[in-house]
Amino acid sequence: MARCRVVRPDVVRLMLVDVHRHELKDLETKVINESDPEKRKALLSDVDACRDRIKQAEDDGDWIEVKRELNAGETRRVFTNLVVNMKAGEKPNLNPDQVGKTKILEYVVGWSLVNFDGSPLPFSAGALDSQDQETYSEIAKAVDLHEERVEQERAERKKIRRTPTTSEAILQSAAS
Amino acid sequence: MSNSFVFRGAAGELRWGWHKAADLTGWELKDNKLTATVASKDEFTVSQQPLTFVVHRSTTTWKFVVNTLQIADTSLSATVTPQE
Repeated sequence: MARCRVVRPDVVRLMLVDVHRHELKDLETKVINESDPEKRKALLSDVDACRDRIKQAEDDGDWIEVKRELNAGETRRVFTNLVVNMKAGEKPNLNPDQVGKTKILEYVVGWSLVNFDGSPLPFSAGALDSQDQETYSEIAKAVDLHEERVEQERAERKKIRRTPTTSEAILQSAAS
Repeated sequence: MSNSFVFRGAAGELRWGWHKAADLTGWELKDNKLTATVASKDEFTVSQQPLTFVVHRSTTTWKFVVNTLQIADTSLSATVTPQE
């Protein structure tokens, strides 16, 4: 049967606390590998601060919902909405205001964040810009980590597809 | 005595996941039967499943799963059930 290449519009919910848990794991690895006592002390202080952020994020319980995978058009828009102009053979001019943001806007389809009165705040470019800096960073990191995971899964899928078929294996064995 | 309600609205849309499949105008929902005028549609997206009928209200969004769908020119008729 032919392989369908259409990207199914599946949605994944990402807990924002997982961004800090991931950061904690990285910091703990650095602490283990750090031999300089001064640098190790500074890293341990970062670990404590990170644990505080995890506690806060657990209390908040906030999440974002993202597209599991971008399709070709969406992937293109991450780039085209970033570029001001582009000439052949030259580096494209990017809009600094859009760096990082176009990816969030393409990926995120919903979130748990609320307005001043506690009512649900629909996700939009304006609503995203209105969040505090820490929240924006959490969202950006959550999207980056999600994209990395999906890239890894895609690479794994390709590896499986490239496993030699029985007839290829027979041909290879006959040739050797 | 009939307990059926009729809901009407000026604008709504059909969605496949987050993709907009069609813009609808002048929709009417009676029991589980939806009729509307199709203002615009994407042929590929509207042929996918599952589709959702979405209406944005001032404070909330109504979502219905589309069970059956017929589109003839700009006339749409469908059966829908409220999304959990």
